[in-house]
Amino acid sequence: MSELHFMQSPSVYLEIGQSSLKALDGEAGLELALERLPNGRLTDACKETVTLSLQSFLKKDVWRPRARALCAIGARGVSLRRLMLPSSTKDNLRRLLLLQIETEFPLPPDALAWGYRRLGNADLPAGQPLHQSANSAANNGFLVAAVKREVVEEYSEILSNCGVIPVFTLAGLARASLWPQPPRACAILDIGRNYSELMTFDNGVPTAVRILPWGGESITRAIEKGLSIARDEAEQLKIGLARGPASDAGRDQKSQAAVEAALNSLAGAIKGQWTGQRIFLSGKSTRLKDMSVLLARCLGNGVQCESIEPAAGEGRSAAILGLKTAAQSGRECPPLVLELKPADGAASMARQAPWKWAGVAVLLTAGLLALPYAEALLLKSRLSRKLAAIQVDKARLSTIDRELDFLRHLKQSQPPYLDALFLLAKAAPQGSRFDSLSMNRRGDLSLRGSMRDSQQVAGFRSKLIESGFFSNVAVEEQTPTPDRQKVVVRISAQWKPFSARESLAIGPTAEEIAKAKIRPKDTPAGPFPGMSPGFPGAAAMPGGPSPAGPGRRIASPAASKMPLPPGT
Amino acid sequence: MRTLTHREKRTLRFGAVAVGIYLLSFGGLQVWKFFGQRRSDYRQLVRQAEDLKREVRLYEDRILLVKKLMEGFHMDPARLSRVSVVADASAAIQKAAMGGGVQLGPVRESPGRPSSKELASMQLEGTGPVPAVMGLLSRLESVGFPLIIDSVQLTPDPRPGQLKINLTILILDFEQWKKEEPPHA
Repeated sequence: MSELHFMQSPSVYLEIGQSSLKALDGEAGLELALERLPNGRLTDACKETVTLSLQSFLKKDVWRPRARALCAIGARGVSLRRLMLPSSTKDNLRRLLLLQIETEFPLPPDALAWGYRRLGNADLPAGQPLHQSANSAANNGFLVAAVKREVVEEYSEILSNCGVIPVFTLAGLARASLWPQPPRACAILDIGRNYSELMTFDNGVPTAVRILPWGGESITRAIEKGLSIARDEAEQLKIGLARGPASDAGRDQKSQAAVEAALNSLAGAIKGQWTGQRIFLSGKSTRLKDMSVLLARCLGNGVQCESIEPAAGEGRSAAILGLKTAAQSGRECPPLVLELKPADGAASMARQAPWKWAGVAVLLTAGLLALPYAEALLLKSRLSRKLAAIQVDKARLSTIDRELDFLRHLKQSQPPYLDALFLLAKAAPQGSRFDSLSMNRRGDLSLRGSMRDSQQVAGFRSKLIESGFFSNVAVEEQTPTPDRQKVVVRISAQWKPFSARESLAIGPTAEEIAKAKIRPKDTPAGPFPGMSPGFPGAAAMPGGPSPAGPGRRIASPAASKMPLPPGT
Repeated sequence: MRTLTHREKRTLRFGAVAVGIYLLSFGGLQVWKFFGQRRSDYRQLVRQAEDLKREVRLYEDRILLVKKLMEGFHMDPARLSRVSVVADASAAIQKAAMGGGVQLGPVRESPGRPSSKELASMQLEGTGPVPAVMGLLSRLESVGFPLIIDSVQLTPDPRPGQLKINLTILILDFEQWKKEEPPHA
């Protein structure tokens, strides 16, 4: 469980005494004076002051669970009994306890805040008289503590208003938690302002709790009388004794004598209640110099006295330290919890936080498991609608396919007339003349014209072939003119299919375009104007060569070998 | 009515618990099946949606290509009307020719071959300077109609600097593509 400490409610520790309230939250401490009515109840003004002070002291983070306030209450009005009950189930045990409380205690159980603690066999002191028969081996021992219900209710109301969950126990039992293994027989004396609380233990089990009419004020009064000084001066002197010897040795001696006299009266009161060998002292008055020694001397019979008062500090006391020790040792609740509700309050208190977290865990797990199903239930209709809409839109995809097919066909079916014209113009030798040129989209090209001689014809044909554009070039007819000055030629060619032409670089380079732009426009006229000398396709085409070979100028060996047409 | 004995009460209690457990488990099974079915249907829908998503993603490139081609041709095939496309194309060709400085001669139209998905074919004759003729050849591709120049014939004109051009142009029929089974590429 230690790994789950962060899940447990944080704890604050309180000790509610007759005249003061001490609180410890972490390292922060608080000490408040309490004002009581003659019947022992707190005054209204005191309640209000305490509530406000505690509220500001116990400010908590919003995200954290409510803190538990482990409260140790004083022994005034507390009755302690040991009961022997036969073995029974848990429900029957409660019923039996109620019956016993009704018999043993002066008030009915409904008017009491009570709690019990089961005693082990080792806890049962030998020869100790019990309120029930101890003969039966099947009997179980129980320690029952009870106090007037309204006393605890008053405290509970104040603490609940401060946003904490109060858990009440006896201060004497809390002090006993300071020892992991308590001595076999001992007593704890907590010295208060006006009263002292004596709780006796046998085998670690409380046997009795008594209120002694002796407190720190008794010492002050003794000094006041012994030295015949004012009360305030006596109080200062007492505080001075706690610090160490004063410069006035005579006065110190008188004070010590007065203290001893006061302690003698305390020892007398203790002897009337207890006859053990070891007594532990707590309370601010135990800080008086040699208090333990003096009291031991007054008690006599080799009784040992030992102070268990923690170092001075606000909100620190032996009871609070005991509560803290018990909580840190892994106990969720003090060993004896005074319950206000008739139900098993301690158990429910202890189990509240884990059950809450378990519930949250179960809810989260259920949510996790249900999420896929909830998703299916919630999102299915939406997804169906979306899918139906997309399915309707899907019909458009086939339209896109058809459009793409159509446009691709159109693109691939565009014959490269301008490319062919550009190549012809580029390959044509100077002085050539074309009389007719026809081309069709199947790639057939035929031209009729005249050139200077057969070498020019051969060169022209070679250039056309080297361009890589034509798959075949045939000089169908080559006839010299009657004057032998020219050769009339008829050439047919076939350009390559689209896929083979794709990688060709056709069209004028940027330099050729620039040159064509600055060339004088008065090109010599001829029978096929503009085609001789050199077909000025690129220069003449509006918009440049874009239709012929836009963006397809890829270097190819054939193109690089092609000489520029004369005159360009 | 007779008061039930403790034994009878216990028997009745056990019976009620047994019947309760049976009903709970049976009902729970039915509810579990119902939700399981709904979830399985939902998962199937999710799978369908994922398939569809993959299918649509393939079309992203095609759409870009179509867009580019449409911009190149200045044409949206889906908007072409079969009834008026020939007239509109003829007008656009003549406008392009006149605008480029080519003087058109006779223009003849004849019905296309349905087997080649052609709507009509046109024969044009014109005369103009070399740049104008070349410009017309280049512009015909982007007049906004599905045209293919079937053949070109260039001959010199008696006037200096002029060129005669004979064009045969095919107008394609997109409706016939629509009827076709779309390619499964």
